[in-house]
Amino acid sequence: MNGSAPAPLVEVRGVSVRYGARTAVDDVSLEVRRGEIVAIIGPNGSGKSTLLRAIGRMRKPDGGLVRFDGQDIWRTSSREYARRVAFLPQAPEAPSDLTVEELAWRGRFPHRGLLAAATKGDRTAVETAIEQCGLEALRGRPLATLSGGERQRAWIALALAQEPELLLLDEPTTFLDIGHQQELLQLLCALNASRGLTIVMVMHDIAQAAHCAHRLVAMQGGRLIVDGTPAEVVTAERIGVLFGASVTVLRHPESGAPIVVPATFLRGD
Amino acid sequence: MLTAAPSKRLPPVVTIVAAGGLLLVAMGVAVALGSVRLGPGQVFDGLFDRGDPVARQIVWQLRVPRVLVAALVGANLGLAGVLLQGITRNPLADPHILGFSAGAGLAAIAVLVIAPGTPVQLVAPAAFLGSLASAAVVYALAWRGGISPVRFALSGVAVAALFTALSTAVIATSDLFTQATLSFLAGGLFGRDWSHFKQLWPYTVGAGSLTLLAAGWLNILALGDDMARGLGLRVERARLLLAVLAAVLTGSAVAVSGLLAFIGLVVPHAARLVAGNDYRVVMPLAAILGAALLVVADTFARVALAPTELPVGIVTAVVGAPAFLLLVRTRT
Repeated sequence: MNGSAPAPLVEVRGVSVRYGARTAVDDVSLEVRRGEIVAIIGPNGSGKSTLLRAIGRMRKPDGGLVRFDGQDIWRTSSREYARRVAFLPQAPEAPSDLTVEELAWRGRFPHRGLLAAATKGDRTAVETAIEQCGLEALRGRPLATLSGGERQRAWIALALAQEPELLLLDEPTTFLDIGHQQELLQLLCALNASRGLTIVMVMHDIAQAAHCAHRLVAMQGGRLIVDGTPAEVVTAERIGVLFGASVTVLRHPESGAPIVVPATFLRGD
Repeated sequence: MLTAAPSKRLPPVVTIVAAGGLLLVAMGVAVALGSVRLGPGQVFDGLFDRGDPVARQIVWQLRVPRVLVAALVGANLGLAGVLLQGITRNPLADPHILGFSAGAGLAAIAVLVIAPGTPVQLVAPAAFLGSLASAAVVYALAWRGGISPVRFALSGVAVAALFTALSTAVIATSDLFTQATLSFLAGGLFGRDWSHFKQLWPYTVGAGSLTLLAAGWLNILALGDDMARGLGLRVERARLLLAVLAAVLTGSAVAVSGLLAFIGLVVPHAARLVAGNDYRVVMPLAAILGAALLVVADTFARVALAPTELPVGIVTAVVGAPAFLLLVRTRT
């Protein structure tokens, strides 16, 4: 105990990303500590995904810098970064006849040479990933034959096979029905709890974000405007201003987590 | 629940060894058949460049090099087809459709028609350079801070159309329309000998081995650019290297054979049908199947109407088109 707080795992310092004349992310700073789940929320076009891409080394910032474990991420190779950080885009694509197991094996790419035979470590990583995502029975199935929720778990298995310390997800629940959304968030929470996996994800649904994440950061017009616990961020006033909506915030009867509902009924009965 | 999803595929080694055996059989049959009927003993002796001088001449100086050239050209086009379908993530891509060979046609015709006095030996290098040039044009047109697979495919189709039109224009406006021009456009292996083999094999071996080494990249590119980047692949660099390999394989092949359609399109599908999704298996299999397909097609071209020869490009198109349709219909 020397009194200093542990260094953050991710450090975003004054990052700006521009697409032509448009500034998608504007001077954003953010820290993520090891073992945290952070959800990025905000209206469409607020720069959430672009910020995630900057953290994921998908897009070099036009200003500022991103550090991972104390090091500028653009000073490490993409391969080295891929061994520690996994990124799942919003709608990843794959050949439809690729099987779950084949997909999970792709996650070993950053750890293997082009010609290297699979090691015991590779096999263990893939097996563990498949098991943790509950895909043992589906391992030989082509992706095209899976439900949306199963397919999303298969992609998570690929990410886990990378054995990352940080998992970045872009709206992982968007195309799922409510049952599969819950299942997926439970899986992410379990991974966070069991192996201390740090997770940063862009979320569309505020209630889900509030339920799952330790911290919410809200973006608007490319700027990060709020950063705090779900209870701090999800208030009727803040959400109303953020999304330009008129909302009421209720409390979940069991967990006390905030739930956002429209303030007025539009349908007159 | 292991029985729920039985793996119908043979182990990769078995598949590749079996395909290799098939290729050897096809090559053996190809050497044995021809417009001149030879006995098995004569063919066998000929393979060791001995025995009856006439048979020896036919087997060792005519058939063997031609079969080998057919195998190399087929392997090159099969590999190039897998590369281009992988880079563009488009099952309809092939060196012909994406304009990689269009420049070869234009360059060869320009040499043959505009400067008829040019020695025939210069046609091949011209075609090779033309092919590389058209590939470079396709790549440059598709570049906008990066290559998008769709833009790549569309640029390729446009360049193919443009170069083909230019070739036709050169032919149409020239009185010096020659047999050589036509046979280059139709694609054929008539009269290909040891000199062509010597010209081609370094490219097949060199670019071919690099392609097999890089096949794993295509597995990752198949997951989309974002995912590939996230897995640590330097996407633009990988795609450029793979495209260069496709251009070299295509250019060196069409410089020897003329414009052969369909091999590069059909073979990757056949290889994937047998070997599945792993490009590290698909790639060598496509080389072997491409070689076997062209050896068989060329043998057919030689003997079907013997002593007249069909251009093998016609055979590959006539056989390839229905085969391709059959593949498409049974797969989807």
